[in-house]
Amino acid sequence: MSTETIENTSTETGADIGSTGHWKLVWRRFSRHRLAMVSGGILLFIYLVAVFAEFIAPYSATTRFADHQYTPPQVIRPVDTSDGFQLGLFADGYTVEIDETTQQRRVSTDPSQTRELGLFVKGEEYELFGLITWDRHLIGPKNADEPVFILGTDRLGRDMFSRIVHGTRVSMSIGLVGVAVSMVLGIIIGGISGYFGGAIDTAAQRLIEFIMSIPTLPLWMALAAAVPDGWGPLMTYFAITVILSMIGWTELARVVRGRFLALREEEFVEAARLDNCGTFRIMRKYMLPTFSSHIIAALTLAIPAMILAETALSFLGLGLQAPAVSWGVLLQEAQNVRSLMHAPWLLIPGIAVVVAVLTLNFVGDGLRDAADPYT
Amino acid sequence: MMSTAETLLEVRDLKMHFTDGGGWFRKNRRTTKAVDGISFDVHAGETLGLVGESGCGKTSTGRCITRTYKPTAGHVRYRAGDGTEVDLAALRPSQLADYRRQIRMIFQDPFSSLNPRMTARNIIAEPLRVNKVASGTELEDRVVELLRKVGLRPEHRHRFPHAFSGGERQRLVIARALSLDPRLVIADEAVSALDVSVRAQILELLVELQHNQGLTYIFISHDLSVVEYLCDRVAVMYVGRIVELGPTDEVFASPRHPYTQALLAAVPQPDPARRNILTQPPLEGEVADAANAPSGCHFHPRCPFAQEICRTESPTLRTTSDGHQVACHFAEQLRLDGLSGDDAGRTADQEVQT
Repeated sequence: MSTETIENTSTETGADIGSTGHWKLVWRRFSRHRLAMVSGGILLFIYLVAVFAEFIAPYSATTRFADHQYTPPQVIRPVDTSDGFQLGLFADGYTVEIDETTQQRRVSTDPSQTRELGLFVKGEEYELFGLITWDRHLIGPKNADEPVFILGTDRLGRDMFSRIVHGTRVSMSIGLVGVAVSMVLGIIIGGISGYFGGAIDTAAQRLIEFIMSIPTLPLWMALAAAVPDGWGPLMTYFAITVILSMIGWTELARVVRGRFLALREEEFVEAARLDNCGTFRIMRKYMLPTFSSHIIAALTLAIPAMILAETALSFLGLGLQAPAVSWGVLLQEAQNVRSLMHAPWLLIPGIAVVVAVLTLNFVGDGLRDAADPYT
Repeated sequence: MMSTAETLLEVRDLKMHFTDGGGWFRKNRRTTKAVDGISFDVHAGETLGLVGESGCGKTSTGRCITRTYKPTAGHVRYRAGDGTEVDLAALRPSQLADYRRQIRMIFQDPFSSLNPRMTARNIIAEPLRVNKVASGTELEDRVVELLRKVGLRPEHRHRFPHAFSGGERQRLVIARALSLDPRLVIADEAVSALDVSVRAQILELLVELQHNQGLTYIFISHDLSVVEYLCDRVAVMYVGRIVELGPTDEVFASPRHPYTQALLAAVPQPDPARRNILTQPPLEGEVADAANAPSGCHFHPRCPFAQEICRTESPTLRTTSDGHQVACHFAEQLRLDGLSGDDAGRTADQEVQT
């Protein structure tokens, strides 16, 4: 060969760096984003809680303790000195006072009593994943007759901690299907619109504009009323999110369209066309991979929106309804000022919402920064 | 029908007009005549240069031949490997697959013409795989062979494009173009994005590949020194038309069209005694807008020799006495300096005698 040299043959480590795949580079960049990594850990924890809710919660979401309404939260101590010195998990007992004038029962903690908690204690029976019947709980009172409420109880004497844990599952998952449907629709419609352009593009854009102009709240109310009565509250909500995701794909479709419009003029896409690649292959192997990480980041940022939407709608009484347990449903309890005055701990599900939304946002931010590891 | 047996490609009256804008009632419709009726032949085994300033339609011409664009009018007759003749301009997209294997493209920008998410191996293997030419170990062997052929190390085939330098990327682009054993390669500004030293290597590679594989090139470039080095014949384009066409050394030595002469005069000379950039008045005015081209000869607003006839009548491409083709009313009267002329600049006897 007369063309004897390649300009850059000296790099020994070059082969390693040069052949590192895209996703590995993204991960490398992401793992340098401290906040996103911590948030990712917390997020993983939240989803673990959602998966193993029955095991983690001391009680079921509907167990009522008739004598313990509006019980305040209390701190668990690792040491008990009431009877010598003991290590373990301890909490105060409860006393009930009755207000002379209003005849209202008031439960408060009583430091003179001690109740012991344990890890992996026997409690109510449950079915993990609907398959394994078990009765162990991660944490719970050692004596079933002396219950402890870490985050207090609500109006009906149900343990808030257990309810928040059970609510995690619904809150963190029910919108995922909606987001997934939006994603598929957005990519397909946006992709077709951007790739082919012309009349198809114009038609798709007018459709998107029309859909974007539909006010969602009235639609939501109409749908809530239109869904058959026979469906349970979860099913109803699920149906509504899916229907709403049918109109929620517009944002992503616009992004995908823009990218496709730019990409179809790229020389490597033209090269693929001249290689006799089919349209679908070009979209799948050439166009989508160049911004798949951006799509993932966009989706991660869409999940908090869906959690907030669930919370807001349930709070308004349009989303999930009472027998179902979600963070939004739990916050419904905090709607009334009187109960809030007596039991501010009813707002704790709000903290769960804030934490979940923030961690998802941070993870999404980290992903967005890592999405293009070459810059 | 084709004139001679060795004619590989015959372009006749090729037109590529782009229509844009329009709005609802097509009020502001503008037609850009990127290519406006050009004709030329490409002989088997030769290198035809297509030169001109930016926006003169050279790239559009190349894209009409590869059928990235569907030409507005005209014929692109191609003599296929099996001897059959076909008009590429008239084919439906579904019929193109065969010819796209025989006519391949080398792109200008080695950075944007490679998929950043595919390894070198996959980039080269893609045409082989899509066209079902090879698979399995045969595919692997072909990729290694192609990499060697273009001077890349086969052990680097699992690298992604970003790990290659500009010159190496262009070698990859060339390997991809060669993977299907093409007959005609269209190189669109193939070396314009490269450093001068790398450029020489790539040009040498192209010459060598042509020699070994009997390739035919259409070499699109604005760089006259590259064209002079590589091309057997050259076609000079201005605003969608060919103004001069002939063997490279003749066109460069004795241009017949004032535009060709102006282009040649703009080539920087390393000889300080002939610093023509300083002595030669630069070409005045801007390249005409292809959407609103001047009447008559498109070059007349910038031509120092323009006469009344140039404003009204469009000159046709005709063969002059020395055998090359030119589109100028005064081709015979003008005496223009070429690249190897002794004195730069215009002399008195260049004045038109009418």
